[in-house]
Amino acid sequence: MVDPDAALMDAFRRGDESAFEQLVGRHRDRVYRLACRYLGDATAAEDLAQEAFLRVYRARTTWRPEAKFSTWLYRVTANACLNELRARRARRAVEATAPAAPGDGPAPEAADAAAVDPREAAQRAETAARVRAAVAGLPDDQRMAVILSKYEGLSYRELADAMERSVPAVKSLLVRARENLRKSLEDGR
Amino acid sequence: MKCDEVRENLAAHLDGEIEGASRRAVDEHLAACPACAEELRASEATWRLLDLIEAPPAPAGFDARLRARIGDAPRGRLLRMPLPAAAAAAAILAAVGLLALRAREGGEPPAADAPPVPVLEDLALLESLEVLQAGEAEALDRLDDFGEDDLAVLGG
Repeated sequence: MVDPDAALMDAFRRGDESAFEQLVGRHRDRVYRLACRYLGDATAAEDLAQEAFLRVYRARTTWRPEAKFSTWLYRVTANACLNELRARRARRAVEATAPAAPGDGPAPEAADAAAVDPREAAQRAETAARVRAAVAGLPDDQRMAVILSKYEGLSYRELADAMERSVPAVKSLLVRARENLRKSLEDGR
Repeated sequence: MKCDEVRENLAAHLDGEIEGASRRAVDEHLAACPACAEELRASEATWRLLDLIEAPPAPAGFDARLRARIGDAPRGRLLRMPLPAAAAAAAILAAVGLLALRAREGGEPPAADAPPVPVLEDLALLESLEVLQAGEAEALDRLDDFGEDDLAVLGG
């Protein structure tokens, strides 16, 4: 089956700038959501999502359809996320006493505008915060595996390609991640 | 199949990543082992809780900001050239450098107050060449790196 994204990338390589715009249109939301969930920071997520597309733009002459375009894009985004986290940790180590930057706030809450019962909404928000904290507390690679599996629906094979791991390694990551999430949420009762 | 082995396969079982005889073996164990069945239920409930973490779509203006960023991306003039132009420019630079080197080797060492060999000055000349004005293909960019039951789990 022909990967429509690969056809667009090929057209882009041959100079069709509109093909790049179509690729952005097809993938911008998932790239942004992945970054948003991973970093927990909407401002940084947009910056990172744009960085991922900049890499696509620059890679048009070197990209080869060895994997599905979307899997490659997930890999680019995942690597950018991991690099951003490392950079943040390095900055925090240096600025340990500085106040938190505005962009370091949590990701947007789950939309609750439709909830009619304020108590239920409050409880839901509290639970969401605990779940988000549990995910944020996972080791980097487990968190990425969870996000790509749970929210992006990647198979273990696709996860392995996106994370540059073996399928058994991905399987093990998800076993550990589920255990850690459950323990973290139970401990937080 | 023993409990340890089953628990190592629970995630894959829930993710639909095991099939055939392996899946049947896990199912048979779960049917006979309340402890592992409870593990499965708890793992499933935890996974559903992740639905509470929502993420919005990309904000309005994303494409325009991306387009501006592509236009603003720091690239030297050489990096904006198509490959043939870049190759031609590189060849000219190399030739100029070689001539300068030969001039230096063939004569006396330059005096301390002698004018510098005009290699860098020639860049301005290079930039005026038509070949350097062609296109925006960034052929040399390849050099860039390319890198409500569920709440019960919480007691809620």
